[in-house]
Amino acid sequence: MARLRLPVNQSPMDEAALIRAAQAGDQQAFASLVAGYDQQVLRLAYNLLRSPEEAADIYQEAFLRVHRNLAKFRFDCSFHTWLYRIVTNLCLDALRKKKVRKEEPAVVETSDGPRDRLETAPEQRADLDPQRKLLSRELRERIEAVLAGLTPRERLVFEMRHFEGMRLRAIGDSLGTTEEAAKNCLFRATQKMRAALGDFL
Amino acid sequence: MNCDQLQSRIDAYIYGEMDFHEEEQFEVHASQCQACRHQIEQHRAMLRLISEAEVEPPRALLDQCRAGLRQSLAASSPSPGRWRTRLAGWLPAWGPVARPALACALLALAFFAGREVEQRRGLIPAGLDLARVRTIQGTGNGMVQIVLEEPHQRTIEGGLNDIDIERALLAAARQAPDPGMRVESVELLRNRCNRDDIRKAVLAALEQDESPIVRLRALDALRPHARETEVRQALSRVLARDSSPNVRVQAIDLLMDRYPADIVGTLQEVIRREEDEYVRTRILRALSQVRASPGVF
Repeated sequence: MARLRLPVNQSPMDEAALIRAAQAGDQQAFASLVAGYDQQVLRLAYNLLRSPEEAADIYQEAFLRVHRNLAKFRFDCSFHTWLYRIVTNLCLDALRKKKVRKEEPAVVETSDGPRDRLETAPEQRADLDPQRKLLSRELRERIEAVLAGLTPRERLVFEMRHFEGMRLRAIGDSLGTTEEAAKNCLFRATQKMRAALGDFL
Repeated sequence: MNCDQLQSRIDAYIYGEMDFHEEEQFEVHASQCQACRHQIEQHRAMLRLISEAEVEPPRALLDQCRAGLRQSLAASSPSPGRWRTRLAGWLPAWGPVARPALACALLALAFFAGREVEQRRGLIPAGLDLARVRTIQGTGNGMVQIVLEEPHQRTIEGGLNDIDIERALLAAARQAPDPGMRVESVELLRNRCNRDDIRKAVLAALEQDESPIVRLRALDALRPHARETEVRQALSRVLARDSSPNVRVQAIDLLMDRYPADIVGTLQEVIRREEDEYVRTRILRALSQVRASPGVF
């Protein structure tokens, strides 16, 4: 079975050669291409959806779509932009679905009586994000709430700019919009955060 | 820059998304306004807090995802019969632990046996990584026969008159995924546009290629043929439909080069819908050259 190579410092020339080889059916080249981007795609999906299963679904679907459509890639934009168009569409869909589902009650029934949903899964949450143990419970909940309160686009733009370090222009390109629209989205997101976290500052 | 403007741009400033001039104005205002400096600090503190909520996916998740993707890709490849299933079918039932080991051993056996044969023929395969397994059959004497499908690269060399070179260039002009390669192909074909099939390929590039650079090269290649009806008709369609103003302007120039009076109708038609200011100017200039009015009466 082909082993995925870890990303090396790929110059655009190397990447173009990899893409052409993958377009010609070279599975090893495709695996190398995937390995150059998949960690950041997974991190984006994982942080946006806060669920390993949903992040894995996004990963799988994104790269299967890349594989299916790679022959249509014409180098009219960077591969990164093309890939992120696919990834951001999938993430937006998943966030929208999550928003519809999210009206789960904050208090759930357990054998010990009604309990806060967050208290029912402390082990899993600690496994999921050990760093967050450092934050106070109140602050953690507030951050969760404000992130959940953002629109899917605001959430995505914030994540891509703040955590992934993508330029607003590249974010706009991925979302099929302008740099200005991405900037406005980011502004709305951080205003909501300021309003929600003001008393912790 | 006033306080409101500064506060609406704090994100752009912190993330380094301002141009030099805007950043200068921002910093000049901030240096003179304590309230704004406080706002910037608050914003930074808020972003630091949020940063603490960021998490790295566990490494095991990445490994799982990669393995899952490999499986899905292997499952979706159009091989006749799934080789894993076929292989499992004629392996003894030694349990799930021994079975993969035996499968690997058999594949290795086939690989080395195959390599010997290939070496004798002087063709050493690049390795199993590059191949897709099409069929696996036991040959009855303890050996297996595996049919591999491998992507091969072939180099052809020859003059532009060489039939293979010509075919490859025509194919590349039509379907190479890289626009740079399509440009190169059109360039190499340009002196042979007197041949019907080559002219048709270049006309197709002019009207159908996604890249404006390729369309411009095709247009240039057709320059010596601008008087031919087929080419003029294509140029008129380009003028009416092409999405690139640059290509439309070049089409006007080429059409005006010969028999400009022929295209007055087209120009009058196009200017009614033309939105690009520069293209409009060029059409008006062309119409005035042939002393025609921009309107249709």
